[in-house]
Amino acid sequence: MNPQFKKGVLELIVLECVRRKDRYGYELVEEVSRVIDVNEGTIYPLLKRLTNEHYFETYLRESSEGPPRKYYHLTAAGILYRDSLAEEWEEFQHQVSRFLEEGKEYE
Amino acid sequence: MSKETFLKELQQHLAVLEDQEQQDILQEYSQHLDIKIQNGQKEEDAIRDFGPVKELAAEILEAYHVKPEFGEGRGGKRLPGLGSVNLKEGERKLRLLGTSLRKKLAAFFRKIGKFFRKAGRGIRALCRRFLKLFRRREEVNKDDRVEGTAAGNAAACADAGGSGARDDKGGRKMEMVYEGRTAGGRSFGMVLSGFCKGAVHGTGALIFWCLRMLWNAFWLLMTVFAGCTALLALFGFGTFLVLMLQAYPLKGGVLVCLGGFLAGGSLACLCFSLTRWKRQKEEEKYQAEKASGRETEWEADLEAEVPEAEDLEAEAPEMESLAAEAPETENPETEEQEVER
Repeated sequence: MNPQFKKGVLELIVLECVRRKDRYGYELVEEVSRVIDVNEGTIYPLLKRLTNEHYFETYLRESSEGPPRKYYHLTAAGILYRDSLAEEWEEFQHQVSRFLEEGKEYE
Repeated sequence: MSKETFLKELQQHLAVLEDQEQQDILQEYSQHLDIKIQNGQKEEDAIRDFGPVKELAAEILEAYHVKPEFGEGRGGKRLPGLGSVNLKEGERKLRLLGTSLRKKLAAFFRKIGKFFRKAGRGIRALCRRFLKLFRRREEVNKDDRVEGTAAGNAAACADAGGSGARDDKGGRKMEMVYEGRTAGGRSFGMVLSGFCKGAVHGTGALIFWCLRMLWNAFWLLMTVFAGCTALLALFGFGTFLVLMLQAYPLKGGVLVCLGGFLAGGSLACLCFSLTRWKRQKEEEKYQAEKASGRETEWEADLEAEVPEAEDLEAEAPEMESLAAEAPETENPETEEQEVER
């Protein structure tokens, strides 16, 4: 997949993943990797940025194996941001699809 | 590449970030790797999945809105080193500057103190000298007067003794007595004139001294005034300069204040040097006077007067003897009178 595509939607996918369930870093990376094939390293900076912009809250929770894990939780601002991003994505996707549909007439 | 080296390398690239942030991110990556290794992946492979450390670091920095080149260019080590070393060196320099400044200031104030002490000592010495001079004069005058009165008494005695004398001898005696009297009168006159001279000289010196004090006080006041003006102007200059640098149109004010500071400062220096110069000149003059001037004249006068007084004292016994002789000379006369009877 074109890395530019990935970069654009990665934020929306991460937001959606955390909206469904509070997750810790590795879990999130795995979840995102199920949707798109992405470099694991790039998800952490994104998480950091979204946390700094107050779309995520973090908290520590003990784990059965290893040290406590940092869980990410979507804030109210994060939910609004996710919704606006989802809308944009829908519209963008529709427009692109429609444009591609139009192209079929030229075949 | 092991986990430790990977994390270390990543940290060097992220050195621009705050320590807390660095720790947060590194912890996330470390945990991610731990979980992967726990799940049975090789450490090497897990790290390779992150891709090149440089690119990863660039992405992380991008998330912080930091230019990736900045993190790469600086390379971690330089920033903290630069900061701490320079800070320490700067502190050391500042401290050195402070001590040297303090020493200089102390030396300056010590100099000022020494100068004032010297000036005070000089003034005191002058006053003492002046007072001593005056006192000595008075004493001498008193002595003269006492001697003069003694001589006068002796003369009066002689006069009384010689009043009855009629013959040549008595006349001679009278002459002598007269001489004695005139000598006494002369010395008394000398004493009077000396006293007058002393008084005039003393008042003159007093007036002179007062004038000098007034002069010095005037210039000192002027110095203080000019110095205060200069300081005020300096303060204004600083204020206006700051305001001007903040883009207020105060170039004129700054120039005026600078000019005022320079003018006030130089005026203060001039006034101060004038007082000192005057004082030094006075001292020199006084020294010169003392060496060859009126004081020696005065002493010479006094010395000249004293021998005269001694002469009178020497004359006085003669007169007394004359006075003692006088009754003896009277005796024959009484005898003659008795004979006539």
